[in-house]
Amino acid sequence: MLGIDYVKAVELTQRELGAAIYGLMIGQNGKSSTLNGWLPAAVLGTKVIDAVGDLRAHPTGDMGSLGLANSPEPMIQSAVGGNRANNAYIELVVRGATAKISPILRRAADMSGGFIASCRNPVPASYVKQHAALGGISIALELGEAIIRAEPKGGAAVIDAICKQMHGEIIGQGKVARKAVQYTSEAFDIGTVRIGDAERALVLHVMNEYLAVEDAGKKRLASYPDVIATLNRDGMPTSVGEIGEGMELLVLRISKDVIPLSSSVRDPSVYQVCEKALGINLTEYALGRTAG
Amino acid sequence: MRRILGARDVEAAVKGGAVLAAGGGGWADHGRMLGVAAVNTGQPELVTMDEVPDAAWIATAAAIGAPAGTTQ
Repeated sequence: MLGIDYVKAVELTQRELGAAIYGLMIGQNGKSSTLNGWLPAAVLGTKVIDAVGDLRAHPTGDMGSLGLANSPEPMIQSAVGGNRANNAYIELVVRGATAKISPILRRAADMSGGFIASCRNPVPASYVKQHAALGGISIALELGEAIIRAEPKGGAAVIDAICKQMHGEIIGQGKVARKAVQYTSEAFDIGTVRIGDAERALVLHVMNEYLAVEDAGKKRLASYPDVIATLNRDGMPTSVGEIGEGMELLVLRISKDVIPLSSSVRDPSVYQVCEKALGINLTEYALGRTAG
Repeated sequence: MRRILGARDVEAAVKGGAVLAAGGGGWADHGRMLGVAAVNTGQPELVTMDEVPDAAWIATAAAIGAPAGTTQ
């Protein structure tokens, strides 16, 4: 996929909509997703909208969909990209209920060699104002800026800067004692990562991303939509895929109480698939009481 | 407040986004490519929702799949 595919996807959705798209938001922050709207903004003049479907990354599209995942309302979705070297470049525009057309885009990604850009679900700004996590891009940028400023002072300073900027805390640290994460037939990485040993051990529950942390007595120390991350001694965030047993990691928690939340996060229906996969309760913490 | 995003914002977005990735995968190189291309091609502008008219159309931009065509 090329960067220009993000631009073409916006053009296709705009044409089908019959109206100009004012701006682009994103479903979740991430190493590249935070920047998904930037190139269309540079080329077409659409705005980078300072709102996200979820401040943090999450395993299912529903969790960042602003409640559209269960909506019967017809939506427009386009996708552009694919592996050009294999003549697998494709463009498509589909219209229908989100639950019916989202799987078409996923299938298109597979057929095109694995990676496509999409522009989907145009909605009026009034809907975004009501349902999105507002300010989600600025929060990512200010966090990154704090990290860049701290980097010359070393790893401890970076970790302090992350905690201070986000009102987060390090809830534990130690060597990775065990990583038991499996890729399942539902296309999720599911399992646990155990950090530290004996009574000071932490168990991180993984469904692509970290969804919960428990202590050795199974007390919930962090739970989605808290931001949960593992950092190495340099303050670099590590993905589950990068983690190996024996690595020394710190566990960061940013409470849901100090971040903007979207309406999807407050929708109990999004948790069933995760709770089934992980065998733990998430709804209770997401909708009610705070972990820790 | 609206402002034009620049080169320094690219690295901030990748680094901030990496923490908020919450242990998930993702592709810092792809993010840098998009950001560098954007700030060199034009002037991407960040706007807060309070500056957007209620009737304006907002869509969601996303990548689907993985760059290497893997399942990651």
